[in-house]
Amino acid sequence: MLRDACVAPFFLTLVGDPNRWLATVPDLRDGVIVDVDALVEGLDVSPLVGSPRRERPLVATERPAQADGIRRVDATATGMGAAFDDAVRAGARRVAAGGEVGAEVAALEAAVARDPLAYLRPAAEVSALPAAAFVVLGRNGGVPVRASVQLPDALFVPDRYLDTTAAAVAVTVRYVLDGTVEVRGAATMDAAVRDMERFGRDYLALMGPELAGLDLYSRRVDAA
Amino acid sequence: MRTVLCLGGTGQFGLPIARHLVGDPVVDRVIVAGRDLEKAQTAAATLGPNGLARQVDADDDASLAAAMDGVSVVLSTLWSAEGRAARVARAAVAAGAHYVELNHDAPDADLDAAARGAGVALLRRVGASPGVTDLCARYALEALDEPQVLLTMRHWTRLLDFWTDLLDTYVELPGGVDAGRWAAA
Repeated sequence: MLRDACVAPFFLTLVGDPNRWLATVPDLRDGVIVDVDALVEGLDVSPLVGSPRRERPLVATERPAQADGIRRVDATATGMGAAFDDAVRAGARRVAAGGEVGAEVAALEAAVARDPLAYLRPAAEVSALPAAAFVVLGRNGGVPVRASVQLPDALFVPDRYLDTTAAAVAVTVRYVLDGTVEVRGAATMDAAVRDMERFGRDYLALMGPELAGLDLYSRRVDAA
Repeated sequence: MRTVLCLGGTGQFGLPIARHLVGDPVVDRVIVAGRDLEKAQTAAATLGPNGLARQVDADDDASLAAAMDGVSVVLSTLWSAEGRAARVARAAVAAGAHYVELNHDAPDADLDAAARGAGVALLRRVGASPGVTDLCARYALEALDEPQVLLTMRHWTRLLDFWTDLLDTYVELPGGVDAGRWAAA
């Protein structure tokens, strides 16, 4: 918990428009800041975490446009809670009204330092969040839908992580040898491995009996 | 004879992969390769009769070429490659072997063309991340006729805890974090 409070100030970069503010991190400064409020409008992500508000990401960048025209946004939810969101919003509004960004950031840092627990998500809430999830917005048959894929937290266990990667590599090498991977020349794993269901089965088979039967991807499609 | 040459095969990623491969029915032999032959032999000894050891210097083209002779797949788990990845990949293509690596090397159009010409795969970014996560993103996209926005969400606090614990785990291993680097492989 204290670690969250210590690193929180590094996330703070207020953007003047109160309707387009976001916090960001130095590593992501080269990205395009995204209006997440608009992006997630109509997106009920409650199947993932139970609460759209909790899921709303605080950090987001948009990758450069690709030929397929699909917008790709990387979002990171932090350990900060609703009170922190509200404080940042309030600060952003003051900046938009002529306030000084540095002063707002300093004031928020000081407030967090005085009472970090008031600004953090409860630990139980954080532990209920998935470590990684993929959400796609779009249409099926002209109807707005969203698809989500969530990696199981069982993979994100330090003692298991080496084998998490080892199994993925071993299956890929097998596919190269048995001809399942047909691509020639340079390719990434997502371009080379086409049958996800089979990959999931083969992958989990190497991960040991404790993960047997696990839904590796947990894909679902819901009306948007 | 389907042989996989594991460069960095004595490391924290390389050896677990080699253990999976040596038990795979499509693999006949796994060669654990490293700069330190004694370490490679120790690692290979844990793989059973189909595990072999070989001394290889990834900075030496002749050493790479000799090690890759007759190999079906070159697997590289070298870290901090600093140009070695391209050298190793070029050597694999020249040897007519498929190439699989964990690192994110920069695109190389000439190497891509050479691999196509040689009829071999040149697979980058393989592993849990970004490999499996890239697969998940594609799987989500495939669920929609008209995908418009892909939102990749990572819960920073959860991942911070994960990576911190993982680093602790690495440090506790013999040789610490450096044990996974090329120098130890």
